[in-house]
Amino acid sequence: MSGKIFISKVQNEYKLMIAHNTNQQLLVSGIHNNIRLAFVLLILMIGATVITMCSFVCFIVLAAKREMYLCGALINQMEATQQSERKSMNKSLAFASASHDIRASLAGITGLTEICCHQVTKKEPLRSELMLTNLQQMEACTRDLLGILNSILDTSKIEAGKMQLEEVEFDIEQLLEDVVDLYHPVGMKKGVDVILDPHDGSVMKSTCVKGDRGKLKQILSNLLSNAVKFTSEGHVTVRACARKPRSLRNASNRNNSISCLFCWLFKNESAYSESEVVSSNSQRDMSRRTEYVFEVNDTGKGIPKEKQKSVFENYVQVKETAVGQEGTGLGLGIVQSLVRLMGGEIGIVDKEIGERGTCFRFNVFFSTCEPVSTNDIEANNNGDYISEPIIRIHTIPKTERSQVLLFIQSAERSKVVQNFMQRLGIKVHVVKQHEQLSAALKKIKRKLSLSHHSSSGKSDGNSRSDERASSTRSKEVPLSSLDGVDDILPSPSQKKPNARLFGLVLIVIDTRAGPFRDISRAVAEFRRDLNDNCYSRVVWLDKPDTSNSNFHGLGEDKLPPSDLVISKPFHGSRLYRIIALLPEFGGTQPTRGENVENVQPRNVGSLKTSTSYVASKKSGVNGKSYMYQKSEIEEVGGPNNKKPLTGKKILVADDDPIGRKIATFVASQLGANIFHCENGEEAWKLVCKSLEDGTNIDCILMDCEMPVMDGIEATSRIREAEEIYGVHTPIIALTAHYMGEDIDKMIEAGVDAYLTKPLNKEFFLKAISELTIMRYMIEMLTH
Amino acid sequence: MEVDQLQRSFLEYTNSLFRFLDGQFGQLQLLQDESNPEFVFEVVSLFFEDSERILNDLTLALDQQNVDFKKIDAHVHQFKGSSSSIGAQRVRNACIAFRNFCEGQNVEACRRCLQQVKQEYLLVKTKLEALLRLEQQILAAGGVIPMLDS
Repeated sequence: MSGKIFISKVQNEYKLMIAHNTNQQLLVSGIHNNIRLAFVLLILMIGATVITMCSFVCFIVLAAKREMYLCGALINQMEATQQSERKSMNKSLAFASASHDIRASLAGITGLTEICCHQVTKKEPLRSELMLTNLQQMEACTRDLLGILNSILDTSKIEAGKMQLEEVEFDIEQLLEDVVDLYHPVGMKKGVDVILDPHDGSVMKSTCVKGDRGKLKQILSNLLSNAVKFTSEGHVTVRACARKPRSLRNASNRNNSISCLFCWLFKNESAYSESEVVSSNSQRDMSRRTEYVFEVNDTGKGIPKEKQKSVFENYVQVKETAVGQEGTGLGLGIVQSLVRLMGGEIGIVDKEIGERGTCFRFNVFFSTCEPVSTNDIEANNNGDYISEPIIRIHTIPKTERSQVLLFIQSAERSKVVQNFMQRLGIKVHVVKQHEQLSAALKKIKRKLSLSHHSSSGKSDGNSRSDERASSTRSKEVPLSSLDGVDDILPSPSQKKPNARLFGLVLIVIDTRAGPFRDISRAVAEFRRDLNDNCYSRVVWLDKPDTSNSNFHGLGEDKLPPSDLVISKPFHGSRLYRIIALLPEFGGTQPTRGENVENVQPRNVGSLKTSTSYVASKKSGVNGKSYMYQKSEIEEVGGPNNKKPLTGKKILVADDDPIGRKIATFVASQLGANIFHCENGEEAWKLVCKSLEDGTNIDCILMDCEMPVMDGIEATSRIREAEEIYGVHTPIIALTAHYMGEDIDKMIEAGVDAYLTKPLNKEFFLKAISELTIMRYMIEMLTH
Repeated sequence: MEVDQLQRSFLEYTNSLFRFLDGQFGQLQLLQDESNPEFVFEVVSLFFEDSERILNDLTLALDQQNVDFKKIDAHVHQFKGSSSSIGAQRVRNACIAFRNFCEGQNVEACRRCLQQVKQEYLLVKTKLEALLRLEQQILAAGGVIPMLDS
């Protein structure tokens, strides 16, 4: 029995043990399961981390590789760029040196063709026609080659950024006139009139500038040649006006407020002072710079809107219109670059609907040569013009004003001249066809004789002349410049009513505008019964090549000696000279055979001009400009009738007796009354005395270096004295050759022009006449 | 002598003077015309008178104990002016050199310069006198003084 219990006990224990074991085993297996799970998880985690790290490393490695690759590529690229830059630089250098040789060879060819021309004409003048034409064509070809070469060179220079601007003094009005005259014959051949429009005359005041004359000439020539090339009928007009640069006015206001803002925002004193300095600097720089706007307008084929932007890109020619035209297409690109170099911009202006053609407009900045005082800048609040208040006293009553009759073939030119004259306050009649000419002349004559009769009466004459004036007033164009006209101040001539002076009737006739016989007949009829107090003068505009052939038919003795023949186009200096014939602008009445006492131009002593108009004339040393062309305006009666400076009082101040003698001789040959002195002090005293006496000196020739008081100081003292009386006597400085620095000082002291010694008759005459014309014109225009 | 020959020798002589007389003299000759046939003669005589006076003044001034360089400079400047007005370029150049030495206040050098200037002046004087004589001869023979192209 105990064995059974034992066995059962063991069995129970065994069962327990087994149960225990199974529990344990369960546990263990449970734990084992857990452990296995954890283990798996752990392995997974580690694996994941490892994979992440690996991939990270891979990415980094890849990135580094790419960076290295890119760096390498970049370095290669930069090297390649540098190499190509060097290549192109070398190319341009090689090109420049090659072009030097090309130009030398071309110059050689030109020279040799010239020599051939001379030799041919010398040896066999009769049979050399064919040879000459061939040689001339060769010369033309070489010139064209040179032109093309130059334009290619210019483009590459500009691209290389090596184009530099010169700084020389030159005269814009003269340049415009030269360029327009250059293209005028070409245009006339095609039947296209090339006109220089004086516009508002603002360029006249600031015509003397410092800048690059050659480049401006290049720009204008290019635009003009394009205009003439692409126009087959109509006209090409060149216009210019001068303005004070716009930004100056706004900038000065803006700068101060912005700098104040900065100061407040950043509480930084230095910022304020810096911006102040900047604005004052820019003011100083801009104060001497004027903006010039040029316009070249033609009535040709025009440029379609889509192509307008692209014409300025190099090598692009507007193809539809370029059939049969030469040109490399480089021009406008160069023009744009040059304009930008001068600080401006060029563009095509839209025209009105119905008007055809193209209008190019560009602006450039130049510094003017006049000394600009700070007062001018501050006083200039709203004006675009550099103007000064001028008191103008019109001493000529309305009935006696001059009239101009225009009969010009080209309608546009007629309009341009008419507008300019009307701006100046001149009464203008325009005749459009030759049939109307005699009718218009008759009308003028009738009106003149009526007003003459009415005002020759004594006391009621005045009221009647006012009546006439009111009837003629309706014909006049109302202009703001005529505001001061109604003041009729007592003029010395009213004391003697019989010797009243009437205005000039100026007739400008284009000989091509109609059959010459009819025209001359109408003019002769007009002149026949003209009464003694009305003066008339006829200006004949002739073609340059026919030159007086029309008059040979008439016989020169039939034309009165006071008539003028102009064979160059009627604009620019010729226009000004004709206007100067009118008594309001300083002209003297033409002699009428008997000894009429010489009428002095109206004493403009009461005009106040404080800007001195400076015309710098580099004669002699740089003789190519300002050669007085005798054939431009010829007096029909020959140059011997009246000495141009008759009756003018001229003071010569020079310490050198020889220089004095020469100047005296030259001026007296021109008919002037001379008196001279030896140094600046005497000159000043003489001027003061004449100012007190009221006898005006018409011109002073002042030497620069003199003992006791030199020309510079004398000029400044004279200008001071003149201010009190409100006069401005033209002073021309005389310098010997090597006196460059003195010229600036003289200009600052207030001279109006300078000439080199010894005094050359023609330059002197030109200088004086231009000074007189310009002065009157500026006074008229700056109301 | 024939007028043609005279005129030709006149032209040749004028051309040979280009080293002594520059373009200014040509301008003076151009100013002379029928109404003023003596113009060149008058100007040249004036030049001679003026120059002799200045040269005398200069010699005196340089012989002084205390040399007044300012006065000398003024004289030389005047001489320079008149010689350039008549176109005597060698005289003018000598004057320019003279002025430089004046600034240096070097008495000996100034004296030498004065000699130089005198020499140049005498040279140009003989040339001008010869030219004027030729002109007189042409006029006496009934001819016209030929104009030069530049």
